[in-house]
Amino acid sequence: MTTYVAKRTGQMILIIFLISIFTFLLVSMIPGDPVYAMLGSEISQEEYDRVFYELKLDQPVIQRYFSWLFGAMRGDWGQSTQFHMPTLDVLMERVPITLFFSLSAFVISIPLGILFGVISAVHRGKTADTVVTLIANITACLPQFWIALLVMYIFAMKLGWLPSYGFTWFSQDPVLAVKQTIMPLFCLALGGIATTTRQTRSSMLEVIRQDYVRTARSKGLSQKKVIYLHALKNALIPVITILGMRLGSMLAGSMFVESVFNIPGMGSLFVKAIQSRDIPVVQACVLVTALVSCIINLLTDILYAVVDPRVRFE
Amino acid sequence: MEHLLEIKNIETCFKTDGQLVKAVDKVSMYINPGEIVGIVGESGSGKSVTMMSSLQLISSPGKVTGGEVYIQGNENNMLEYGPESEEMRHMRGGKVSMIFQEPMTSLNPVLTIGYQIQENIMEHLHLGKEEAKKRTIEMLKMVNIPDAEQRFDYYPQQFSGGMRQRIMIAMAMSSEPTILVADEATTALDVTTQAQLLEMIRDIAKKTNTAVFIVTHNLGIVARFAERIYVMYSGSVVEMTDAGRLFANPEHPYTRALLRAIPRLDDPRDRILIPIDGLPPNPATRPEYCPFYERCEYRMDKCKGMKKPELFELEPGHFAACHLTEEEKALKAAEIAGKELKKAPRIEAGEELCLEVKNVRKYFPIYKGMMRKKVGEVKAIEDINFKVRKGETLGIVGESGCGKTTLARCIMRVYRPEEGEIFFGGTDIANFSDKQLYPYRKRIAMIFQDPFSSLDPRQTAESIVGESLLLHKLVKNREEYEKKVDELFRIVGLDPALKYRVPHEFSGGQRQRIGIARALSSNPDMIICDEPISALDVSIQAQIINLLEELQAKLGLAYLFIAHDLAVVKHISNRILVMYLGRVVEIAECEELYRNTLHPYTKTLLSAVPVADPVVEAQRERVPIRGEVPSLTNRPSGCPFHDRCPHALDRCKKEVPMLKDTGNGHEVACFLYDK
Repeated sequence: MTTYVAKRTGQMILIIFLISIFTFLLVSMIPGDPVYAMLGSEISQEEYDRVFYELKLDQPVIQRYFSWLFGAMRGDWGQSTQFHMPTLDVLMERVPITLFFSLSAFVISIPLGILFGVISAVHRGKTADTVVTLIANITACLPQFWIALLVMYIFAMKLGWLPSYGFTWFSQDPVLAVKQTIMPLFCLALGGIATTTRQTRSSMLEVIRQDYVRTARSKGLSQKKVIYLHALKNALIPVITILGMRLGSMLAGSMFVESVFNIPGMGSLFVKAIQSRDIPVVQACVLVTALVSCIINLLTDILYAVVDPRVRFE
Repeated sequence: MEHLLEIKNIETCFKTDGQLVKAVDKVSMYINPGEIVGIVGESGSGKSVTMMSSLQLISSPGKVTGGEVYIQGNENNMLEYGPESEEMRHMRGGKVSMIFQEPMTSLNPVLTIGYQIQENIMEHLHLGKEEAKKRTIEMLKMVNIPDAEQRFDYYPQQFSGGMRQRIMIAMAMSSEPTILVADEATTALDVTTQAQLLEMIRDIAKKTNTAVFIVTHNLGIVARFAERIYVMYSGSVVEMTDAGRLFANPEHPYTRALLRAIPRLDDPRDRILIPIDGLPPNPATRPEYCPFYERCEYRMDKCKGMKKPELFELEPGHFAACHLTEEEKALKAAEIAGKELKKAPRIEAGEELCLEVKNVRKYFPIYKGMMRKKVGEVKAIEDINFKVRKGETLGIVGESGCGKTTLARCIMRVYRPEEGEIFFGGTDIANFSDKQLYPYRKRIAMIFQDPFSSLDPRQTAESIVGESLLLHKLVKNREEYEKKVDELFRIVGLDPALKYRVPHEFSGGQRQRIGIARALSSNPDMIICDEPISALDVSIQAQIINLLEELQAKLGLAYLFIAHDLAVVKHISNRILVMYLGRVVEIAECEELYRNTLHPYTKTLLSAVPVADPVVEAQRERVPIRGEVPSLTNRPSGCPFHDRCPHALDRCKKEVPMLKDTGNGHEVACFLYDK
């Protein structure tokens, strides 16, 4: 088990290293001159020279990469050209909000999805299954921003129960915070619930047919034990595989949802940074997203080994 | 109540494509304490479904639609209780335990074996966790799992197939059941493991006075182990009596036909197998009259006019379901005996060599880690030496993993052997390139084990059979091609009118015929048959064996017949080669090998094969075998068999014995015969 974790961690570090190279090369990959690309061509020679040296474009690319990398590791992510403040400070404000939404949506959607999936698999072909499957199929196909607009229309505009935009931390104003959180969280979690439900259902149906489930039933175990212990533990293995991907799509989804509800998170920051060619912020966003994804994938892999002993002995 | 368990008129239906298919049609059975009862039948005869139905283990789309089940200690019909009711769960697992066919999939892969047994004990014996664990370890020791204390926390995949099945036995017996159902429990295992396990089941059952149902398709197993036998056909019991009478004096035409269709290890040289024509009826379109009618040699016009026959007591304790009277049957039997039988098509092999294999070795490297570093080798086959003459059949036997298939693939040159020579028709093809091999490809053909997955499901039978005709340019034009394909269909006994169908429209036996036609199409000198009949039902096996023999006589083919069923190999082969852990241990003429077995491994192997005759079984000498087949990655030094051999000498641990001729072409690799 320890070797397994060590191996996976090693792989993760390698992947992050590779991603950092590509992120860094972003500057050089922009078509044309990076300085013009960032500031537009209507700048004076002095300005051009200042930024040219600021970006250390006079140095060889490898040297630039390492000084950027070590800087990044110390927390020096460069100056945001859009906000005129250090990138790290910009991120520190935004990243927690997005992580809060993604992680809570993740934490809500997985157990609910598994529960609905099991219910629908156990009652295959019955009303409960039909209802769950139908809803899951519909919600899985709906685009997130559309759901966001729909709930906003109903609950904010028509009923006026919930505020339509903004974000407040719970510690600042609990009531407002809860009110502002409900809709975006719902939009983010819905797709996750639907996908997890569908995945759990199909893998549960697969597992229920297996010989070892028959063995468990032949032992006279109660239905509950057969389903939740013998079958579910096996059925979860493919579900865990998609967990990592789920978080990735939650992060992507937060960009839409943050834009719709005007939440100052990393998603909206990312979009804005790309529009205004704020390279340091784009780089930082990519790196943070990659880092979070890698950590989640590592956790998934470890969870995988906990649930499935076969992985451990590989 | 008089019996321990009584099943009365149980009926189970499966709903497929909107219609109800009766898989079990009013079957009644009983078992008494401590009794060992065999249930034999081909696949689809309803033997497993009967057992599962009585425990309400049938899941959708199947449904128990009628009948009664009584178990000692409960006055009521157990089928009245729901499948998840307290009473039913107490019976299932508590009083009646089951062991299933597939040891590789029957244990839960994500739970430790200790937990899975402990859980069963806690459920039924209501013991605490610690006590249950203690009993679990006792049970594991009872089934000879070494280091039971440590293995408690092991997962199923850390055990071999045979060990897993022993764990299943331990689990089944852990709740102190009164009845054990072994549903094809040893079918997937090797013969020696099978014998070990069945003997273990019998010993445990006798010690604890547990009744056992042995559900199997293997008549040899019931002959060796069962006291009373039910024979099932197409969802009904057709005959029931004690083991001795069933084999000495079978009453139902199906039982009689079955016994004439299966090869036996003690068969004389010229025994002819008499296949049962046709196929069992499709349960969806099963007729109202006797389901065996279409295939029955004894059938009379009156059978078709009457309803399905009920079981009828012919003499005390002997039941059969047939409309014919004793006189009618005797008359028919005389008629059948008078019929001229096809002569066994034997041809004497010439002296000319077809294939010679010299010192062939094949290892497979094991890679590990990200850099794919080589960390070891699977020593698949080593020092293989043998010859095959033209028109001869050489049988290759051995347990799974002994290298039979690797050897076949080396000869086919799917693999390139690391060392050694393979002379085919006088040319060494061991190191030929693909291009050089091309002309040889058509001269060696292969018939595969599984007729269900070895044929392309989207290709028509005609193009499967005709492909190599085109590939090797053996036909000049379309007309000749059609003619040749039709001829091949006729040779293997298929109607050429069926040739535009795709494989799934054929039955298993027919598909294997297509496989044979495909092998024959390039007009080969030799055919490698890799377990060609093991996926088929016993009544179909005889048809294929006979076909292979006829073809050999007609076309002068040499066969390399690979199988784990020794009786079949002995029936079809001229000589037999025995393999153990990648090495040849003995080669001899069939009769010589059977009468004068030399190698200790061959002795245990032969003694493990049950013969379908309780009288013969009772007289046979048993050569028990110890332990498990070692892994190919760390093969024991010296003789591969030394750690399981009762005669092992010091020398056996150090040196590898080479094949030596002891006279009559009987070669053996054992120091006991070293002069």
